[in-house]
Amino acid sequence: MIYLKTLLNVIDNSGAQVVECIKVLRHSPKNFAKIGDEITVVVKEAKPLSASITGQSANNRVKRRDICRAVVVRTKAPLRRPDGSTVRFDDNACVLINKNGDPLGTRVSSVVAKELRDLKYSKIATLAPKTF
Amino acid sequence: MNFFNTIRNYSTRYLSGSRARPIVFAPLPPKRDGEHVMSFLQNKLLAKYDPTGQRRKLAETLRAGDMIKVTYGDKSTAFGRIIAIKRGHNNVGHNILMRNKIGGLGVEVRVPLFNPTIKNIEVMHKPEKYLSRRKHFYIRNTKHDVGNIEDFLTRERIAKNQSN
Repeated sequence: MIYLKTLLNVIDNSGAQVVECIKVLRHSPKNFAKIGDEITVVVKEAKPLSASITGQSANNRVKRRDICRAVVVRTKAPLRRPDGSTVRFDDNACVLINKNGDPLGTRVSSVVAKELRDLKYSKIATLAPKTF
Repeated sequence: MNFFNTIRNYSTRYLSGSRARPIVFAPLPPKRDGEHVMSFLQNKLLAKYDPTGQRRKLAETLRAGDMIKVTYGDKSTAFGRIIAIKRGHNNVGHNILMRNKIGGLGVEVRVPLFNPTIKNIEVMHKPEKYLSRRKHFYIRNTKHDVGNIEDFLTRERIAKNQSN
């Protein structure tokens, strides 16, 4: 259940570490984001920029107070699957994306939900070391 | 049965008077040999989803603290330590809540026991000494918390092979 003011961990190498949700996209105003939903976030904590980072990841680097889009990949609230099972993770986490739905970073560092594979975020699911 | 008795009482009262006799029907035969509708339906569902009774037998042996491996029809597997079992009363409402750690992050999945897409549920490890309580919700983020179950099981298997 991600809504206004929820803090989420960022699990890609875009540079952001903690972000705050400022908008749940494409839902009625009272609704909340689940796994696979898109949100707008503001970066609260970011890794410092260093000269050693080059290439694609350097261009997509985000700073503190940047506003970007993200997709929710893990939630603490249980997610119900069609077969009746539910899945919950120990934290709320997201991956930063651009407006086309492609991830900003080039790596995903930890486990994500299986549901992303069937949505348009299959790239995130393949980047992740494990899906659950 | 009370309902039919009252009808009979009515009829005798009517008989004593001079009015016409009301029509009284014989009681209908009980449906499903008198079995309650819910237990009838639940038994039917259990026969459908667990025809051999194997899952029901397994549910009786399982306990919070056991480590299990769930294999699905598409050959994907899920490992975990049971932290709670929700038991229904002779129905298909059983489910198992199991917890694991993947890359240091806790993940929990609640598995319906009679889910037809589950191929097998295997008990991988039973502890010598169980923690107290039937439901271990309190272990989350404490020193009793689970580790990586897959790693634990491989380590245990290696230790067993070496001792043999």
